[in-house]
Amino acid sequence: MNNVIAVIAQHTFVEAFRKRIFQVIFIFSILMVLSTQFFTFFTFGEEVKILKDIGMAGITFFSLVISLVIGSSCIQTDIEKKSIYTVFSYPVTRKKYIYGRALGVFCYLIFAIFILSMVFYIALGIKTHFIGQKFGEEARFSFVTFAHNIELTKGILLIIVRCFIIVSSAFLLSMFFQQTFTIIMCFLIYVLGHLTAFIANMASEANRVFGYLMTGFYYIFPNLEFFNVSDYISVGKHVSAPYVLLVSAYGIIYSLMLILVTANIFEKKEM
Amino acid sequence: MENAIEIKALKKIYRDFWNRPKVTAVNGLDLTVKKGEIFGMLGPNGSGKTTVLKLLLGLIFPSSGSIKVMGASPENIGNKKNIGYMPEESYLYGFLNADEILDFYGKLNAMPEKIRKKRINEVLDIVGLSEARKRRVADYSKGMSRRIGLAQVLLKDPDLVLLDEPTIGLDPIGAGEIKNIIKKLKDRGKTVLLSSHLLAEVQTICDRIAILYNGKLVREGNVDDLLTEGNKTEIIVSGLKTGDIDKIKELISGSGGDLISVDHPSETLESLFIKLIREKSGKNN
Repeated sequence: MNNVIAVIAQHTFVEAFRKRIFQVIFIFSILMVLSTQFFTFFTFGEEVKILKDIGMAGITFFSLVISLVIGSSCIQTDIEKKSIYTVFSYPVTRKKYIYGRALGVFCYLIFAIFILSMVFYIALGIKTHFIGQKFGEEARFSFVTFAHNIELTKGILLIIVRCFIIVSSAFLLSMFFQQTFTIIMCFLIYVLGHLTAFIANMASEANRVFGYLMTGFYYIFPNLEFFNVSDYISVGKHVSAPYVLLVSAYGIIYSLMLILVTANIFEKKEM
Repeated sequence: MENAIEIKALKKIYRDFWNRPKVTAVNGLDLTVKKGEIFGMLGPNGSGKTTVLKLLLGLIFPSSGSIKVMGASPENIGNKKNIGYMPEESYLYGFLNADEILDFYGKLNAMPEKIRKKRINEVLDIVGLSEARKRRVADYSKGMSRRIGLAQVLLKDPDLVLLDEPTIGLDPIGAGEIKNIIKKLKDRGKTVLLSSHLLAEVQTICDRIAILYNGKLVREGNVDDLLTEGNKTEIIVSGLKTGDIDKIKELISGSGGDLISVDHPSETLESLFIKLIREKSGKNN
């Protein structure tokens, strides 16, 4: 890999790791996942579902907030604080700067979500012990196999890829807007991205002009609903490996395209 | 002598969202900085100094005209190993300490690890931050931030150094040390372009200056040539008696000259301050 991209990626990772705001969100999310320990229900099925729901919700919440904040601030802050002036007095091309920044944020998200997932699995493991005492060894065994099931990992993998799309969208929007507006726009993309089926439905039912507009939205906005498999997983349904691979490829290609567009716009941007 | 910077008919117009002209920051500027000189760019706020520096770094693009930095376009990436820049405020990454920040910039400049480590130690010594090297830059005072900004320039050891208000926010001792470093850069054959509105600073260290106003060049030339008033003479003597002054006055009026003032020379407040502080701290120079 190109050295400059790697240096900027490493720098971005350290920056995110040391930022107080991310540390606070991270600790809050860990507490949210660990809070599953305090939920007790009378039936084994209820308890398992609530554990997975809250755990996955914690990881989703953390990943969304971090993606919005880091994606919208990463380049914008560098320009506003003028740190970028010094960086560009070194042999760094604008494209490499964007690629390095994106790679660093992606690595940080993978790292942070991995740690959070480990906490989630440990929380499940601890709970297993109590379930074994409460419902018997048979229930404990079935819970353990489920808790360590690959299905949860598939869900977490799709959360990570969804974050890549949010970060890439934030990178692109930060070329034009200030941080607050970028966050609002990204959040809109997140919401609309989960409503693409609804948009497609509107396109088919609306008049011609509005129909074209809705069809345009359908193809431009990322279909984030593809990545939303937590509900399936929490009720014990199976998510096929080819589906995960296909959706991940879609998410990664979509993100890379956004990053490429961002890099090309940034090349002409005045600072 | 070859030129380090050549600016011809440079114009920079900032435009609004609708691409309508908003401000003409630089208007038909012609400027040449020779290799090996210290060149001062003077002007009040909004005169276009920082815009010129940004154009030289390729951070913004000229509306018309041409710029050559060390013989190449400002966008030439290979050339940037040879150019050092210290911004007006040292906008450096506050979450890193001095060691880490210099290591980051050293890596960006593709310096091998062994050389990088050695150079970091050297430049931290030069700017007097060796003892604060493990402190986060965010916790540095303004003066220390300026020093670390200069350290990242020295780390590269570039042939061309661009300094935006290098001594702003520094006390006279710190400013004096920075000026000494700039003079040493010249002694080593480096070219320095500094922008400042502190006139005394520019006068003491620059070989040539350009005065900008409203994006236009008002005056350019050698500092001594611009400041020397050839039709006046200053004589400083010591040990004169009261009557001697009257004799000198008579001599001057006899030869057709006009005596403008007879006064006792005084030190500048800055030199007095530096002298007193150095006496107290035991430093001699």
